[in-house]
Amino acid sequence: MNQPHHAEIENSIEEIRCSMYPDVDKSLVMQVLNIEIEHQDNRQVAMKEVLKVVSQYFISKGANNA
Amino acid sequence: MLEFLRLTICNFGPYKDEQVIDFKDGVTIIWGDNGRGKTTLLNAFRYALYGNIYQRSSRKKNLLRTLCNLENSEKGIFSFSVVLRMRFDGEVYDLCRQFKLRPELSEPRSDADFIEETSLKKGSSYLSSKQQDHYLNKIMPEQISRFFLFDGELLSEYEDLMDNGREIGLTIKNSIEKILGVPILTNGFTDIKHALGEINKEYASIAKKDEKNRAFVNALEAARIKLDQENNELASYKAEKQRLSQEKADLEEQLKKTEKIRVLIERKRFLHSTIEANLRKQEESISELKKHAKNSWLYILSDKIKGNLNDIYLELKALESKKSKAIKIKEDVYRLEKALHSSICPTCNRGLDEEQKQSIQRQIGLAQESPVEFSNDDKSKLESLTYYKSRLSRHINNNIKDIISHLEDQLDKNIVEISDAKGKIEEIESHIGQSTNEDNVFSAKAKHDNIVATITHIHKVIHQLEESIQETEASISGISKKLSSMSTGYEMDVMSEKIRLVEKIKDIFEKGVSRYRDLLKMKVELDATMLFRQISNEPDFAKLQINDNYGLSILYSDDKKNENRSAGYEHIVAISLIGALQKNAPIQGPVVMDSPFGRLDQIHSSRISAALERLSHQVILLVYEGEIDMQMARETLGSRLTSEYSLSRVSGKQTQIVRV
Repeated sequence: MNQPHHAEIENSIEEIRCSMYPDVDKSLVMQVLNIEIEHQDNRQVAMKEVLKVVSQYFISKGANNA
Repeated sequence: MLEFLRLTICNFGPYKDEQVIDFKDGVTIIWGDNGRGKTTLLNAFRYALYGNIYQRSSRKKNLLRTLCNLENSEKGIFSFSVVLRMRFDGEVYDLCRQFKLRPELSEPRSDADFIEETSLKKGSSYLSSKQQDHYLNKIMPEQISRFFLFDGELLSEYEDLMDNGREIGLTIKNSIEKILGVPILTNGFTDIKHALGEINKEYASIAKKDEKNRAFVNALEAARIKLDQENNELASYKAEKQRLSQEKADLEEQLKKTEKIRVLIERKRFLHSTIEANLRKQEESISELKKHAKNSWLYILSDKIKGNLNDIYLELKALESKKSKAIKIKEDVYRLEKALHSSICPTCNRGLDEEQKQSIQRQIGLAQESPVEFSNDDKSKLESLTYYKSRLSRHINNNIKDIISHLEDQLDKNIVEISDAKGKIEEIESHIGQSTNEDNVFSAKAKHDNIVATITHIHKVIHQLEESIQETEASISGISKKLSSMSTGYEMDVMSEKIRLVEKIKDIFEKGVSRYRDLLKMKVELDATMLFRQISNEPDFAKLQINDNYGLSILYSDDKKNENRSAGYEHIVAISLIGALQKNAPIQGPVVMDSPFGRLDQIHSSRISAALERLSHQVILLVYEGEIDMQMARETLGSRLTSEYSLSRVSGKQTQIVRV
């Protein structure tokens, strides 16, 4: 996929995050989006990667809080 | 961006031995009469990219033997190959697909007798099988191939986008969303939902440690088990629906093939019923004829009887007149004698003088001298004649000739109809052939109808399950919230925070799907309208309006919908949609169009030619000369027309590709 198209998808998501869920970390949402873009042809990998990214986010957040 | 550079085909369809077509950016026109192999070329691209062939009924064709060049097959050469050289994101790829006959065999009997070999070379390096799949799916996924490799004859499928209930409409809608990148967001939503489920499980196992949470945790686990079951059931129904849809498509192709035979068989059955009806009518007519034939001799005597009856009528008339006169005289004599006897005038009741009495006496005398007398012989003659009149009248039937004649005509008509029907049945049977099992032809139709009914049922079940899943998810969310409000402790707080955050991300993706879809629809509608207005020469058509399925309606300037568009305009709308999708798609690539102007007049063909550059950077047209005027195409396209080829007939089994 080419970048301009990603940008439009990204913008759609970011507008919602910004206006409705500003407390949600933008980087986490974008990580999930990038996984979906990268693994469009492999749903199982995408599903596992999303779970991994979410789990890691909390681990690193926990570590930062500690 | 994808660009085709060269197509090399060997022994593929009518293309004997190795033949090459080079492509440049811009428009390539390949001219070919019917039967020269234009659709085979479209299939060569499809075969190279996806390893399969489509027929016009959209179903994969699975007869590899028929793909081998016939002339070479006759010499025992059963192999063919297609090599597609293309450039994608600056890299050159060589995709080669070939089928070879198994070495131990001399002739194939089924597809299993062939070995397929595929290779993909990126630059100078060959890619592994796994890498091949990855790159090919990235370069041009099969689900979106209909927007790049399309058959003008199949453009009518896009009309199904206007109807929400049609399977093909749904398939095209999914393909459109795929090309526009919607699955990135829908998959994101699904995967986040999955992650949320996993976190909830983790949360429940922690919460279970605390006795006071036990009831909620159990409810949560029960709801989750229910959700898993529902999801499994949903997946299984969806898989079944997909399997049945494929089976339905197979049957539809089979039905299409046997449609002519089915019509003939139905006609034959109708003719048999016509024969039976005529035989019944024939029996009825014969029975009627027998009944009337008994009295047919009367027709021969009819004139004689009529003459006799006439004489009888005259005699009866005379006798009745005589009888009336005799009665009248008797009555007159009686009246006069009575007057004479009483000497009173019966008319004025005055007394009669002598002169008057004498006059009456004279009248009585004259009456008694009258010869009119109705004798006993007359009486018996009258009775006898009345009897004969009645008997003879019964034998006069003026209609018998007409009735018999009508019945004979009817019989002749029945015989002709039976004979004609038998002749037609024989003709039909010679078309159908001895080997056709008529019951099988109709059982496929019955099977198809059953499958359609089952798919409709499954569709309802899927809808119900989806609703139930939504309810279960809401229930899980509610229980989780209650659990969260009751639970205490650092670990539980962290888990609750995790759930809240992931739920928010889930919402972001869910809302993102709607927002992105709306944005895309708006852009597709706008771009399709622009292309449509460039192609259409009807000034009253103001714009196109998109629906939820990406179907497009034509609107007049007063915003009223054109409800009855022509086949030509269906075609133009479909091309406008494809152009708009190309423009908005993340994957831009060449468009190969087979017979794209079939439904269009010269004006619209010319307008589409002028609009081709808006369709794609590289367009390959497979056309016949009558479809578009060669000179007009060259003038309209100008420098955008970068190459031309002609499909030249060598023999009925061989076509040569010639650069023009």
